Amino acid sequence: MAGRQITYLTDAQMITCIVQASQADKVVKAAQDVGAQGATITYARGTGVRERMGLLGVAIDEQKEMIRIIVSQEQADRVFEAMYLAGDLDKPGMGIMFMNDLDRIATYIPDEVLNDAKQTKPTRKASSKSKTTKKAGAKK
Amino acid sequence: MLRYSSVLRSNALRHREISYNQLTPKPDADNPEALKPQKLKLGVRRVMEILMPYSGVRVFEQMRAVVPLAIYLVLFQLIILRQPIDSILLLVGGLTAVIVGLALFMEGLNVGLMPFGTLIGDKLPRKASMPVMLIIIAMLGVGVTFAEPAIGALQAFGASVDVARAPYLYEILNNWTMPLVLLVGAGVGAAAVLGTLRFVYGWSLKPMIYAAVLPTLALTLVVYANPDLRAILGLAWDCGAVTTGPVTVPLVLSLGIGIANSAGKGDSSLSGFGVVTLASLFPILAVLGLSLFVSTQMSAEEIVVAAAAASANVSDAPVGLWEQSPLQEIALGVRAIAPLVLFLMFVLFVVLREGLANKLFTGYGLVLSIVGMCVFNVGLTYGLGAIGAQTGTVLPAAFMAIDLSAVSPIYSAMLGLTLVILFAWFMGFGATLAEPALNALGLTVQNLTNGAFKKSMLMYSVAIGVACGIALGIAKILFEIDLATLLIPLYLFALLLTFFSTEEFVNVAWDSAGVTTGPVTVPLVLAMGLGLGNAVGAVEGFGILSMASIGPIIAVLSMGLIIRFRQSRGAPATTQTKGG
Repeated sequence: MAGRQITYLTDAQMITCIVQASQADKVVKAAQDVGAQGATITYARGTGVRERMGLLGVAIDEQKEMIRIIVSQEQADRVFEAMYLAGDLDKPGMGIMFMNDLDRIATYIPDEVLNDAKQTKPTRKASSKSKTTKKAGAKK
Repeated sequence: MLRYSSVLRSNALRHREISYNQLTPKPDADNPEALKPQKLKLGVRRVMEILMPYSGVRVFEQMRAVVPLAIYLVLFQLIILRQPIDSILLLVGGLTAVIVGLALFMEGLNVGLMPFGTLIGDKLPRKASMPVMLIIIAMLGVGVTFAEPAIGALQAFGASVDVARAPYLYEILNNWTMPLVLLVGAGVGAAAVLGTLRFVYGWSLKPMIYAAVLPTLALTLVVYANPDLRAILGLAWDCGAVTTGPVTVPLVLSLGIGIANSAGKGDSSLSGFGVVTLASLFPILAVLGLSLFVSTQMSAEEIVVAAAAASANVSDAPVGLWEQSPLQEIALGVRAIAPLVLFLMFVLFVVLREGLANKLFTGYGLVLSIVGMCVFNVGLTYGLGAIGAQTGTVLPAAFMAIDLSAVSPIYSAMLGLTLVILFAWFMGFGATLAEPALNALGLTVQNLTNGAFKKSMLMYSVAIGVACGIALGIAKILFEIDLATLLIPLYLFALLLTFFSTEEFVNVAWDSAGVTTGPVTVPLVLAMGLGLGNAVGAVEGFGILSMASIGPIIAVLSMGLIIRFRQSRGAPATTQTKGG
């Protein structure tokens, strides 16, 4: 197909948050309320503080849900905090979360959004490998 | 342009940074254990913070099933029957015990007993031959029946039977309780064995249903022909609904699925069904058989004489509430759980030579399930049983004069009877929709039929089926209809529908009945039926549950046929249900 092209989005962060099973929904809801676009939830099993609490460990579900949310740098702190609070991560055994930089992301972007967006200069280290990749909105 | 205040708001949390390096353990030459995880010390507040949501969620889950039902009963009694609630504090205490007991028991079941089930299901097929496996499963069937909370309810109501009019029913409930529960358990065991074979070989459920229902109906006819035995029918058919409760279903299923995974050839999506059906049919057969056996051992006159002698002894010494209650309930609770646990341990440690992953948690779960069972037993007597019996006793005030109520009859006979039957209908409808198991079943079915059978559709057809069944059961007691004359045509009709239905719907429909009669509905309905039966002077008040079992079967099967009919007319190319 001619005319297909890829748009790289930069300035993105990924937030990963691991909570007990069936807790993910409220965390994701909180993240979306402050602007997160979507979330991926996977099921996992985790160990850690549970094993060190003795009998009290039964109160913590061994089954976990792992939430991954991609956010822009601008919204990252806001979403991170909202998720932290919604997940009650300031209480023991509730879970852990972390954030890391993403090199680039690519997905479907509606044309009208694309046309509004200003194309950024390829300055980040991601673009040093391929200098001609940033052609967002340059179609037609 | 960015307002400073919005920056502040977006970073609302006070934060500080600490290097993670400071928190991880450092190697220590003197102490080789230094790098290993240390035991955590938590303050009381932290412990509470962990325990509150943990217990809150579990208690709330049970409250959702119990509280609306209790409120409905109380409001109906106060407003429609204009009868004050008796000993309300005791009732509230009893219902609280039910909620707490069930929450404890279910958590104990999940933490303590279920790991045994899955582990054994996983390992057993690899280490044991087929016959050994089947024997273990059969014995497990007996064990889970003892542990089923609602089975205690059956025994508790034995004393209320009128010995002169239903001698054999009285005899079995009072002097044959052990063989009764054993035989019911044997029925469940046989069902579990057949269900497992079905898992493994992928057999169709239809012939099994024919093979189980037809002899049951035949025996019903035989028992029906003997007027002394006739009253047994209600008990026998109710046993089916009682046995398929929160212990049997998950434990037998987890074992069966484990076996199917490692040895099975069957279609895995459907093979989980069917056990529940058989587990509710075989006990009926067993109880009917027992009644026939008892009838050859003793004559009706002998029983009446013996009962009169026994009651003369007992009635002299009324037992105080606190003297009899806690110790006896605890003994019952331990007796219910202990055999199952010992058996599971024997299989796991001696037969399989496996260890448990976490002994501390399992021990905690086992203790919890026993404690929960005891608390639930107390609640069963003073909560569910009491409120059900109370409502059942004053229900007739709506249409006839009874001693209890000064204003009775409150309504004309016609209106009163209609009200009572409507009351039963809505109670069945509401209680069924609130069962968590039904929600799960609905989801499974929706997935299985690729959305042809919607979750809500299944839930409503099951609820309507149960509601009609309970209404019919109440009518049976009110008008003293013989249970057999209702059961036999209904089951024959269900068989006919089964013949025309596809395998999927047969599986779902026959299982829906057992799955949806939970530990709250069963004792409540039993107590209500018995109370009502006593109040109107019926021979016995059993049989409502059996009606509530056949109701959803017919409802779901008919619904399935309607859907298939519509699909084949509307879109002949895409009949998704033509799988089986």
